[in-house]
Amino acid sequence: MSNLNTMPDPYQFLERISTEELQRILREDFESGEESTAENDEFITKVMEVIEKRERSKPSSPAFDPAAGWEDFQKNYYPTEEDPVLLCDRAELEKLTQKHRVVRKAHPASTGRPARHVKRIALVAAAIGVFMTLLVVAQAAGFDVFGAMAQWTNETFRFMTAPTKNSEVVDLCSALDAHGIPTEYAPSWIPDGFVAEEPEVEVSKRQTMISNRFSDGKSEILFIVTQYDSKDAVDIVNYEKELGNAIPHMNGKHLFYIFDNTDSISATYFDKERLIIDISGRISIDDMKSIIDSIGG
Amino acid sequence: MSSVSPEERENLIKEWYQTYSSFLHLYASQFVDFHSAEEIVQETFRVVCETADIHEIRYPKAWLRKVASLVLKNWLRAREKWRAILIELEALPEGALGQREDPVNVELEYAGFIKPDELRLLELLSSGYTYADAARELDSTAEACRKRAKRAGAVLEAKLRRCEA
Repeated sequence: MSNLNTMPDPYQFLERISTEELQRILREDFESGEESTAENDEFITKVMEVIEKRERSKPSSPAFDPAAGWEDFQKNYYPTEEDPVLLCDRAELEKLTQKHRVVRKAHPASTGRPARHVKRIALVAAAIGVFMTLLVVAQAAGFDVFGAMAQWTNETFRFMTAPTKNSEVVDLCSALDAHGIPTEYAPSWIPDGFVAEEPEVEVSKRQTMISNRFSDGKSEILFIVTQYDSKDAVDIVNYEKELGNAIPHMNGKHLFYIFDNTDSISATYFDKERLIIDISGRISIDDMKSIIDSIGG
Repeated sequence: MSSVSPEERENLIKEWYQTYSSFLHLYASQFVDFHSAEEIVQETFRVVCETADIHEIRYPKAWLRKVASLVLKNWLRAREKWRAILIELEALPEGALGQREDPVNVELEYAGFIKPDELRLLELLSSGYTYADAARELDSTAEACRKRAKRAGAVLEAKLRRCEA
């Protein structure tokens, strides 16, 4: 059972900075003439979130009324004319928006188009925690995330498994198919430069675990599909909890939760029955989302 | 990613407005007054309405904040420009721009270049009026004010540059 170490939110240090200093950061960013990246835009947004939290706690601070604002927007600002005047250069807007759009995945078999980010990836033992709020989010989205099995706590999300190793040398799709797991769960996109190793299959009384490593010679991505023999067999495994906001990401069919750990990114999917997918590696959130997007066809 | 229907897009914009407008307003308020910040929010969402494929944006909050930043910069630049133009006009000798017909009615000095209410519009906007405020004052629409201010500012600026030359 792993230790219950909690890892800080990567932006938590902003809480220790004074409001004046945070405002100075905002001003410097605003006055900077340099082209920003999506990551910097996110950072400045996080700075603003801290300021917002502090402002909202002041009882006297006036607040913008979204309902009234929306009404005013529709009446006075909604663009109804062709080629409306905008307070934003369209070319600049497109350039900015392009940075913020979802990365287009490149099919590994097709062109050899490079992935947008190719970074060093190291295999990290997936130590994932999930908040009680994730359960609320998932349930609000219509997913009874762990059904009968879950015992969520504030500290851990726990599964228990007892696999017996039984290696087979096949490709991932063949391995999935051989064990009655839909091959659509195999990702069809991995960052450029990574090559799949031979998958390993571990079969026990209660579950079948198929793991596949992808390596570029320096680092690895680990992809694990675990199918339990029955819903009742889905036990609880301890994961180390990561503080911070887990990112729900829907690829059109499957809802994954992405966890931004200090040194790695991991993602988990549960089909509400008896199948769990875990993906981990020292990759960017963009790459993780692209991998997820390639699952399910 | 598949494209979305106009209705889905409309709903997305509305959802973003409800979720993020307060945040954007607070961001804009770091640089301008409360009322002007309201206009920044509105102008930001005008831009959103005119942006394609917004459903593909990864982190809407960060993108919207950055759009608001661009809108704010252009908003401040425009008002600064109009203020500068009006100051320059004030400093020009009589008749420098055109034939003066009435020494008291300075607005006629610019007749033929911009209309008196366009000059008034620039004065209102550079003094802190929003487009919506100016529209109400001039019995016009915010969109008309935007277009007229842009045109009038450009015309006056061009005229002033010719005078300098």
